Amino acid sequence: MKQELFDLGEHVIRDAEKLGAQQVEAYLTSRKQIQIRVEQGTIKTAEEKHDVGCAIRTVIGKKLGFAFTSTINRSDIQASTKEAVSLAKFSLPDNEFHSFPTYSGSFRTLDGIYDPKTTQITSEAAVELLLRGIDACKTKLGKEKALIEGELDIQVTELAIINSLDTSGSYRDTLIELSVDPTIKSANSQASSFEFQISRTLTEIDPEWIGRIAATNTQNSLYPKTIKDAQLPVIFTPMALDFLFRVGLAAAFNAEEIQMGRSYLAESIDCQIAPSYFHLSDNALLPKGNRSRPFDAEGYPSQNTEIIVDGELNHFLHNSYTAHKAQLANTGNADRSSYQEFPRIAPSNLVITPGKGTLDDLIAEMGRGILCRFTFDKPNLSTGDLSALVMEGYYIDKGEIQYPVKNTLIGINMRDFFQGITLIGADTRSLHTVVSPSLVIESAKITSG
Amino acid sequence: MEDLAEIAISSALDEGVSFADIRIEDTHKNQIEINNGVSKTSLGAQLKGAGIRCFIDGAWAFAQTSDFSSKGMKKTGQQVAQMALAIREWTTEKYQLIGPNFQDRVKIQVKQNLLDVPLEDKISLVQMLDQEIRAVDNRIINARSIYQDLTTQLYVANSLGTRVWISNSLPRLILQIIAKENGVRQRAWGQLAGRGGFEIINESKARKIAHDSAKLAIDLLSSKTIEGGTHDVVIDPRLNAAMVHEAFGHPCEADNWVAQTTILEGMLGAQVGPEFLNLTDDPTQKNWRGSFEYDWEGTKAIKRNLVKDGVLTELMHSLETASRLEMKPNGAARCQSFMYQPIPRMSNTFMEPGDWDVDELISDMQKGILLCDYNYGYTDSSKGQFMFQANYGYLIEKGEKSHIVRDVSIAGQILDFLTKIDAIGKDFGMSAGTCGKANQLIPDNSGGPHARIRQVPVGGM
Repeated sequence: MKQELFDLGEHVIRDAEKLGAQQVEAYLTSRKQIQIRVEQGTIKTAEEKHDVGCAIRTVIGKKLGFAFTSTINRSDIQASTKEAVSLAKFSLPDNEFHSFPTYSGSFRTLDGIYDPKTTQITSEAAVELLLRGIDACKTKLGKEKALIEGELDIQVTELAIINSLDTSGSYRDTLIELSVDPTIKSANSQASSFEFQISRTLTEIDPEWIGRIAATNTQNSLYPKTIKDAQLPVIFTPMALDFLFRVGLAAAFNAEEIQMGRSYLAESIDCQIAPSYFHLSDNALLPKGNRSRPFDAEGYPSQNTEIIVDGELNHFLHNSYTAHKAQLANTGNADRSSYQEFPRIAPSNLVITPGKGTLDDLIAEMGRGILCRFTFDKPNLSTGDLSALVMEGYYIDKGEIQYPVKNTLIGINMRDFFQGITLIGADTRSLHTVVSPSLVIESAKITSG
Repeated sequence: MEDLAEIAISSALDEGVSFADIRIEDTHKNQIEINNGVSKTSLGAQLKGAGIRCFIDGAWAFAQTSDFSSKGMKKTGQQVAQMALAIREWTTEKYQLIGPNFQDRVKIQVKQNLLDVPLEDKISLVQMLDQEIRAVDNRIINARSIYQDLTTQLYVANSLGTRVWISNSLPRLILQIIAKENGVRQRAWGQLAGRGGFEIINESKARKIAHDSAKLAIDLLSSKTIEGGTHDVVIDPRLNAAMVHEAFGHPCEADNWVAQTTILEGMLGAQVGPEFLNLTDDPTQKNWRGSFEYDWEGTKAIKRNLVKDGVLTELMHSLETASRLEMKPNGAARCQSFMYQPIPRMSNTFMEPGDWDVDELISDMQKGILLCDYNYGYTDSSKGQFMFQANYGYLIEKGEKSHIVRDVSIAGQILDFLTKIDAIGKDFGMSAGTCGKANQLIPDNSGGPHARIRQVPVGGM
């Protein structure tokens, strides 16, 4: 497949140059995916997809065009190449644009991002893997009336990038995600929760652990209560931080948002934005990292970028465009999850250096507060204001979990969030983008009703 | 195209499945984004392929292909059928798929076909809006103007006998403005969308939206955050859109019902809100962004009265959910593209107007908050918990609008929340959107009038 992708890419470059493009980039992916879904504790659906496509970027002067097609048929690719060139001709010039990246060296080979065993799994074996998680959940729930949903998603991707400036590279990776989502219906209460793992290798997925924890979390979520409005400390677990940081924080560090004046951190470079014991990096070379890669979505070599060091904001995340505009080094953070996306700046693996203690230790030390296990909310990018619903969480008093909460919102500005980090746990989990332990925030406005 | 569909369906049936369907799609998209006078994205995209699905005894299998040869279609049909047969042994709920069949060829009527509009015209429109926004006030530091369009030809065929050609044409304009003063940044949004040709993006309407959004960003510079607490609130049509969509639309999608994970389970025919509450999902409205004649399973789409006089009366169905719940299919199965399976989704979802003047709604309330516009929201149907965030609002003091406030979040339990609605306005407005569920994004439209809700938990700093 790799050679076929490169051959198509070379055709794209030749065709686009003939049509008048001064720079050309072809980005081709082939992704095989198995998805299995469980409903009411039994298998409902199996999917096997093979998505192959080609994205083309072209440059004429300071003007860019972008097109993609969901096939690798030569005539479809030729039509998209023509459209990409037309779009470049008619676009408005961007005088800050300099060039696609030029890199003629060889890229680093990353260990642990491709698992040959994963590529050989059949739909039947995938079904059995997911059912192990479902069975573990059922066993843990015992006689409790429960409805269990679950999903297994296995992706095997081969990717090639080639541009007219001699950059070319390819790699393969695998990614497996297994989740179990039970709902318990008890007298006068209905609760649901979930647990998941995501990994590059099949052997690191533990379906039984996922099933057991999902069951326990659901049992613990029954009979939630509201609490009295107050200023309280909050523990954010890795799962809560995975969404909050991936969606809400990553945009604030994004150099494009900074340069456009859209981020609340726009004027915070070299400032102390967190306590000295807080460190955050974006490490695209992390061994086995779920978003590790040898190069970014423009073909620029990956690296480990220290974003916050000793609490001081040291770097933003750049692609080739923003780096040139700011006259800074490219951090290799151009990203696209598929050929269907225009390359945007995004983090790879956001790594928070762990501190000390288990989640239980943090709860005991906190005394009174809120444990936020999960939220779907994100801050206002311009102001940093966050108003987050605790989708799953607990009221803590006397160093112990008292009961689950409902209709409870956490209000805090992200600047205060960072400055207010009082404790960092050692319960690190590697999730979609975030590799983090739990964090304790000194105080947030809690509204419940 | 029809021949290829027949090959895929018959090859699947020959393997022994009881149902097979296929969606063959050809979609073209354009996106033009101008950011402070510079082209940021000039995109053209072609999505071409087929999604094939098979069913037997409660087991579903799905695959996609871009191989439009007869051999390729036959092979994919066989493979999907074999997958369904292989997982059948693990399913416990055995049922048959029952449904009507339709034969039709629907071509959307447009004045200006999106594919015929020169690229230069689309770019010129966005450039003009970008310039107008930045000319409103020198405190506007960033204008992001995005034009998107999508043109689709879709053929749906299944083993029940359905053979339907559908077309779609969806232009949309999105404007995002950032204003800054004395270190304070604020943002505002505006948009214009519908179903039809380029005529939907009416220039004078677009200019007004650009101007109003820019002015709002400036006004928000003097806004403040509010103190969290429990308040009486009035929601405007744009926030009502989010409320209806998140708090009630999603739980009425019947895939939650067959999975038995919706908090509304068992409440069909029950009183879920006040008698003056009527909630509707209607894909038959002309030129609305969420409209379609047939759904993505080829079922004729009809209006759904989700709540009538406060009573939960109807759900949104796919062929599967209608069969399992022994109800009539109503054409609500949708998918993002041929790469996904269709599932029950909303179309144009709204609260029907009531009988209160909007001014009266506010003056009747001594203290509270008028909440406007929509940042984002979500719901967990199994817990019945939802959250949505207003972009801005106004404090109401002594029955009058006072200070402007920003980013106000509301949370609640679906069943508690509807009973707290005590007054509904006479006005009406719809907002175009894009709804995400099960990793699929689909175009939709939601709205309603102003409505008043008592004692709601409101998040603050």
